[in-house]
Amino acid sequence: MSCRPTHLSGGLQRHPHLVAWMVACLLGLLLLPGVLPLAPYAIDLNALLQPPGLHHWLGTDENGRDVLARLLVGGRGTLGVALCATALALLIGTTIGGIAGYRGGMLDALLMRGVDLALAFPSLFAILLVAAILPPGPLLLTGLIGATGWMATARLVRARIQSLLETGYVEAARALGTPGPRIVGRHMVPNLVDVLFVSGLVQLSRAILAEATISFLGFGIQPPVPTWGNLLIGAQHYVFTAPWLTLAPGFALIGTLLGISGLGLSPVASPQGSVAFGSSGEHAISAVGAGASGTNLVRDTAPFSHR
Amino acid sequence: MLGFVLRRLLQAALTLLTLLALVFAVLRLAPGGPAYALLGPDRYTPERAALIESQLGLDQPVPEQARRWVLQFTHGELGYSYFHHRPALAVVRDRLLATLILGGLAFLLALLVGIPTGVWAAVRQGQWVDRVLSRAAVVVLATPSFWLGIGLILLCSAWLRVLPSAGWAPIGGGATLGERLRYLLLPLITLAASHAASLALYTRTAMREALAADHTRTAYAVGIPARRVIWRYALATAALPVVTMAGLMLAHFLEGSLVVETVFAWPGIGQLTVASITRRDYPVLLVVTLFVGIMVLGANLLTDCVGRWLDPRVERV
Repeated sequence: MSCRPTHLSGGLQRHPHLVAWMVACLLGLLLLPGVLPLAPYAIDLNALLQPPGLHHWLGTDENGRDVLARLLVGGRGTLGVALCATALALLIGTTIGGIAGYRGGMLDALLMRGVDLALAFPSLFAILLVAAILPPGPLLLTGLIGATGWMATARLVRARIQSLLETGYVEAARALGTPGPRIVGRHMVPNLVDVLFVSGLVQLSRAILAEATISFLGFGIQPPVPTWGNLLIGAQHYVFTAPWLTLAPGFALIGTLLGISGLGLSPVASPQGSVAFGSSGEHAISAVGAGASGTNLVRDTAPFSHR
Repeated sequence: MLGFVLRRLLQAALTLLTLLALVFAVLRLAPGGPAYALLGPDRYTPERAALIESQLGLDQPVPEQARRWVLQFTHGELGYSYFHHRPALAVVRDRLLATLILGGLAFLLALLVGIPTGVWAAVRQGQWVDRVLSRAAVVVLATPSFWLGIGLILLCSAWLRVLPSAGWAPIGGGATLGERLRYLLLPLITLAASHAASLALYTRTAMREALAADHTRTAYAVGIPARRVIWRYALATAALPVVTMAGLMLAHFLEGSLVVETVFAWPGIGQLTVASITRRDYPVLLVVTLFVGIMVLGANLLTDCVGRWLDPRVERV
């Protein structure tokens, strides 16, 4: 199995429009609230639950606040938390997986048992327990989502490092007496790029779903600060009178997640997996789905390791 | 096999104890407590809070609390709910049936929809059926399940007005099967959808590999009917990863129920958990944790056993 980082660009090159669109959306979400005169907190008691119209393109909510403004600002909250949580999960996963794979032996066995244990407990449940006890906020939420999402990355990185240890060039470098840190930095890290790219996309999907779910349940970022999740709090009671409150954040979430899954994990566009490690891309997308209930990313590697 | 099961049971028991100790520590060491929630903002004074905490034994040092709790536990007592004023175990037990009905049926639905769909897509590899099914699965996977629930309420209750948006027909309330099904349908679809979709994609991958394998080609070559080759020979090879996947899912139906029960006001464990977290009802949370732990470990054990039975080559623990 070849594992050059160059395979990575294949997935990106295949969907240039998608990439451009995603980047445009991301920039829009990050920059627009600063440029446009949005007022996500402005309460207008004369315009409660207005349907979409000229004044309010996406209507207003039960406090007369503009839904479009709250959606744009909310996207910044959701994506910000998700991106930071993903970075944290990748960092933890790469460190633990790297150490386990490179060192092997007892340390490896110990760390992997830890991974098994962490995978065994439903992570949404764990996050809710802690999120409810400590005062809620974006930092805590980011930390919790990141800290419960590193296990799959650790397994993938460990497997990759182990296979790299067998390659000729790593063996040659060791024979030449190259110090360990240099082998890792020079020969291994560049070969992890594709693993981290796919892991990162899977994590990002999971983190977005997790933020939305936890905030929806009321334990994440607290209103009035909007996120795509907490905009939907109580939406099931408003569907009869104000369906736009449900549809706007819902389509924003689904569109974002579809875009992410199309970016690197599309099993439809490329049956062999557009990403370097063969069909793992498809396993990864199964993992994205696992997150539909919020969080679990058990499935990408677990099914083939008969523990 | 027996030795294997016993070893795994022992491991599971140890894991469960670790889990309980962790949750106990997290809950008791956390700032804030049930007193504020019990009294409410109007009646809260520090004196009343202190009284309540001493009544509940929360003023004792944590190791002493843990000792008492373990002592109770060994006598089969899991504490009293702070809010329901009944044994925590009974509170959870009352909600258990609703969750098990919903979760069990949703799991069955996910299996019955997901696996045949995946097989179908794999057999029609590259054709339009495959493309449509795979794309549909990807879209379902990109939909948060709580939003799927709300969307279904919007579609079926608000626009089409064919199904109720929330609640359920109580057991023994004289409701007919049809009425029960009407309440059950939307939560069931919401809970099962993402699992069915990921199971379908997973089965599709596993079946593709199995259909390309030498023994499948040989079976075709010697003239065994295609239907038999697909369902008997190829699926047998693909079954192990699919079963493992389904087993891992089983435990995560509990997570799904947290969300689905909140959306549809379904009176089960999920709703109880969310409420108990808000109210800091420690005994109930501990019983729920115990229950979740048993479910997860049980599902893992079951998966391993079925996996071994399906494929005796899996030898390693």
